[in-house]
Amino acid sequence: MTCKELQNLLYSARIDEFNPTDFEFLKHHLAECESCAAVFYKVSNAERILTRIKETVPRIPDEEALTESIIAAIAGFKRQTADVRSNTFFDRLYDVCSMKVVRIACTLVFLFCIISYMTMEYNDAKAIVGLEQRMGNQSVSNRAGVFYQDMNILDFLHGLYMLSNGTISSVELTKTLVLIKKADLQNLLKDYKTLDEASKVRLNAMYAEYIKEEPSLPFGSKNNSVEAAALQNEIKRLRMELERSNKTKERP
Amino acid sequence: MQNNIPIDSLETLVEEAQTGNIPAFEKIVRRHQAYAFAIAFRFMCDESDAQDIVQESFIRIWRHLHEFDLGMKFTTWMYRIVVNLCYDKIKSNKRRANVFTRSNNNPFVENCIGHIDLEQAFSDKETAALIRSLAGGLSEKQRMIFLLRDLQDLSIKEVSDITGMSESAIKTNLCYARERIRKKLESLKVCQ
Ligand SMILES: [Zn+2]
Repeated sequence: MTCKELQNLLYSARIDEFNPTDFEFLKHHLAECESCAAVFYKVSNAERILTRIKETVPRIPDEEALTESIIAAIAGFKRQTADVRSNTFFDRLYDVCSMKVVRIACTLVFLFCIISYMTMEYNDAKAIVGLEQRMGNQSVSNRAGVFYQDMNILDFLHGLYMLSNGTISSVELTKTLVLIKKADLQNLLKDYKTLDEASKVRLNAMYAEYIKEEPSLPFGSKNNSVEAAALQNEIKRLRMELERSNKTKERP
Repeated sequence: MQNNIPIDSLETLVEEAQTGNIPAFEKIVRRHQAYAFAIAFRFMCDESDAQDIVQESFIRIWRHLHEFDLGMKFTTWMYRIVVNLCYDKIKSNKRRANVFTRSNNNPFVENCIGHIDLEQAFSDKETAALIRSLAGGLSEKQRMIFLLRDLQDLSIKEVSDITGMSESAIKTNLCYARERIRKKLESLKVCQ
């Protein structure tokens, strides 16, 4: 053992905690090393003060009064709770909630929720930004179309596809497209009668372009399903009805 | 009144108290409140805080006595409750920011810098001022470990059972606390 090691030990351990080897070393070393002997002297003085502190056992000013107040509190508590066990539910709950493990677990769950929520928000924002970038060179109406009624159907479907992280199938996309077209045409027919002439002309021009598109074309899935085929027939019927109503308007 | 208390074993008293027997519990209180007070006083360095903690400890012991495992040492369980309440008190005590700094202005501690007379017995207030001064700069855990091991003379194992810390963590903290305290004590001159 070096002098430094011994001096560290003298500061951090009590002599009665020394193992026999260290104690023997200390006994012999102190006789021949002034530096260690000086530390030993200082530590011994410190120990004497600590011993005196230890001997000064603090006394309760009035033991009897303290006991009585404790027993009075307990007697009052006992009166309130005939059955201690059934009434300590909230105590137990309090104890459980004060447990470090429970507090840490709650914090972790809370953090997990916050992080999950933020991640979801971030992914959505990223998808939208990606979509915006893809549409950067398109017209404003096409870009806005993702969120507006007069949207470009293809952009809308592309957006839908991106936001679904590619999990949506072409069959689903085609069905969506067909349903949208059907709904649009139905709405158009419904509203047509209430529109003034100028609006009808504008609307006709808009939808003339719009309904030219074959719903299933972009996905090459014309024969995707019986349902899609039925919907396409329905669209054809609606389109013809629209054209018929346009012609009757033009004649008079 | 204390003379009338028959010598019962602690286990018997605890078992009786667990059935709701208040006189049995009163005997436990009389037997242990001084120990509980010593720890609380040495930790809080304040008589009134220490009494509050003792009272609150025994109320808590009574309310949770049915949870006490008779295979465990009762005093260890009691110390643990006292220690936890001390931590709680320190946290909730609005004066806590000053508890371990106000010693700087304490006349007794200032006197100690001049000399300390080991022939004279310390009063509780002087002891509190000294502990407060010596423990300044230690964390609450280090202070508690030092107090339990070196002032209450408990074994490392008992300190571990009470604080819930590992024995190695206790030894490390104890070494640090002792070194700091002994170096602080060097600055005090002792009259012989
Ligand atoms: Zn040496």
